[in-house]
Amino acid sequence: MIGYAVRRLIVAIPTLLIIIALAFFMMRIAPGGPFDQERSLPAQIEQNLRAAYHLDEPVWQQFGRYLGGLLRGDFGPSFKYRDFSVTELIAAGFPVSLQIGAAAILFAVLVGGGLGALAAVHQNRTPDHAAMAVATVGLALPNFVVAPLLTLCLGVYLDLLPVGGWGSPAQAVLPIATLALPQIATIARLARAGLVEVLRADYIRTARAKGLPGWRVLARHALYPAVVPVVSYLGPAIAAVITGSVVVETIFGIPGVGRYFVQGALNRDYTLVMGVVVLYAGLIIALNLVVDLVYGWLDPRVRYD
Amino acid sequence: MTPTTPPLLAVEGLSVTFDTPDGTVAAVQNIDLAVAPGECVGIVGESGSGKSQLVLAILGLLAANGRATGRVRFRGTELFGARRVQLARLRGRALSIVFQDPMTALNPYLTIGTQMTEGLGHHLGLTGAAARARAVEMLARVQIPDAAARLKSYPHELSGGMRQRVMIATALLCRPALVFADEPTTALDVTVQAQILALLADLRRTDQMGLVLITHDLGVIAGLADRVVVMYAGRIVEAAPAEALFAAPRHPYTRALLESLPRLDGPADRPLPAIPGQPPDLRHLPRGCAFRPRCPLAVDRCAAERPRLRPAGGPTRSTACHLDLDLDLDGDGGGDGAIGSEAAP
Repeated sequence: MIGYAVRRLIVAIPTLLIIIALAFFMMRIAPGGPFDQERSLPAQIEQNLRAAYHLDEPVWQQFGRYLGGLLRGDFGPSFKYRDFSVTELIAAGFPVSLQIGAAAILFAVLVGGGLGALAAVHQNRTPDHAAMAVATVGLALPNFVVAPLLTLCLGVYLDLLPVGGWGSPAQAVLPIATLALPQIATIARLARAGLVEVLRADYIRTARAKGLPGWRVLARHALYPAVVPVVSYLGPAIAAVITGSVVVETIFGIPGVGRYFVQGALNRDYTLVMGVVVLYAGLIIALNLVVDLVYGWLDPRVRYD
Repeated sequence: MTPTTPPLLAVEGLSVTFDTPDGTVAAVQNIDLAVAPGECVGIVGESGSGKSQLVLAILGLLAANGRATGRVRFRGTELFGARRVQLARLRGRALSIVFQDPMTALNPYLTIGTQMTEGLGHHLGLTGAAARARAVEMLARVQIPDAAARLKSYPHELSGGMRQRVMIATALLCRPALVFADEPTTALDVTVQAQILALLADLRRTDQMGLVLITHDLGVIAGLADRVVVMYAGRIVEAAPAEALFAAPRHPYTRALLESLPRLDGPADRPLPAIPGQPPDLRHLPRGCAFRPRCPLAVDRCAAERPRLRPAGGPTRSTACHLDLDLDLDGDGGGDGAIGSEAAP
């Protein structure tokens, strides 16, 4: 299994390189530059600025310079926040994003798993229909619609929760709910389908034939196999939460890396965007590997060697 | 069973229906069955004749859309009125079952050891090393080599025959008073099959264990069963002591089943007769006798009136046929007619 993990990580290196190259050159193809929003600068000063950031070199040389920096763990200076390096900005924003993302995933697994189990146990009865209706709504609404709706209803009309900002737990509720909703929906549907199938399986009948009480049959024989498809979905779910947080952090004004990503893209802050891309790509690759390893650990029929 | 022995299991008027999108289907109708301690009752019949559903109904293990009515008493206790907890206490301990399909009846996510010992812990309070020792001992009795190591295996690491033996061992672990075995030896090669059947016979003798054996292997029935119940389209068509049934079947369907067995003493070039036609669709049973469309001896009355199960040929036998048959397999006397080979189209 360790050998498998090491091989997966080695295979991830070219993947990461391709992502970096695509992001780097696409940023450069986009019209405009990092200093376009400044008051018009004298030509000499702009020339000096470009030289200071090596923008006067050929693009391939800049790419090589960037890769060299990455190897030393240096994401370069931010073009916009001139007093900060990209590493410092990510170090400040990432814990915030991580909290929201982890909370959203946890919330989605608990609520989605619970809804799915409820639906499966009461298959084709009212709780099932209600849970699946919630799930369909959650899947159908994109987060940039959910966020303003939640803000309007819970924040403005009912005045229950703050509509933005960061610092108090109350301020985290709406962004986490917005991020979690589509994942709750997907996980609820997966958990329901998994459990419905498992409950019909012959081995559940075998367990009942042993005279075990119902809760024990459910807990030991049914839940475990039903959890496996949910676990295998966590990889895509993590990716979806990360991309979703880009939108959600911007709407709710949360100082996470997602908001830096949007601002960096608008400002042509090349190094900041690249830094976030590398972080996201690395995170998704690593967490997918973790999910695969957990999956293999859960299902005895899957062995990595 | 002999009239003097009190039955271990007494089933009266058991019927099973399933609610399907096409309406209600009667899978099992009006079954009476009794099993005495130490007795082996064989249930034979084609696929879909209701033998498996009969057993599942007795144990309260029908699928969610199935409903059972009638009376089932185990050692005098009514099982159908029994609260779930009470049935759960009997199931797996006094009553146990060997399921038909060893490939799907074991949980792929749990080790053999977990699946074998959980019943011991629940019913007998036997856990840890004591439970494992009991499991290993039973695995050895069903001829599983290196039994101790097998406890750590997952089902997918075992062959079909080994899984079937694990199922049998699990069913026998709590020393049940009555075992239902649904095709228990189909995945086994003949040597192992003989050893398993010997083990079952042994337990019947030493533990007075009752055995209900469901199979379409009439050879297994002949070797093990005291009594045989023949089912067709959800009903009993004939019930008799095994020897009497094999010597002189009284229902044309039983006769046809026996005819379709290869015989060592028959002429070598005799074509093996098959029963013409298909078992009937339970949703559209014919009027009258369900076997009539395939029966070479059918008369007008068979289409008009369903024959009831009635005593025939002695106090221990009954058959559901209008004709008073005394069918002799060798065809050399007494028979109202030979069916089987002549009946093939």
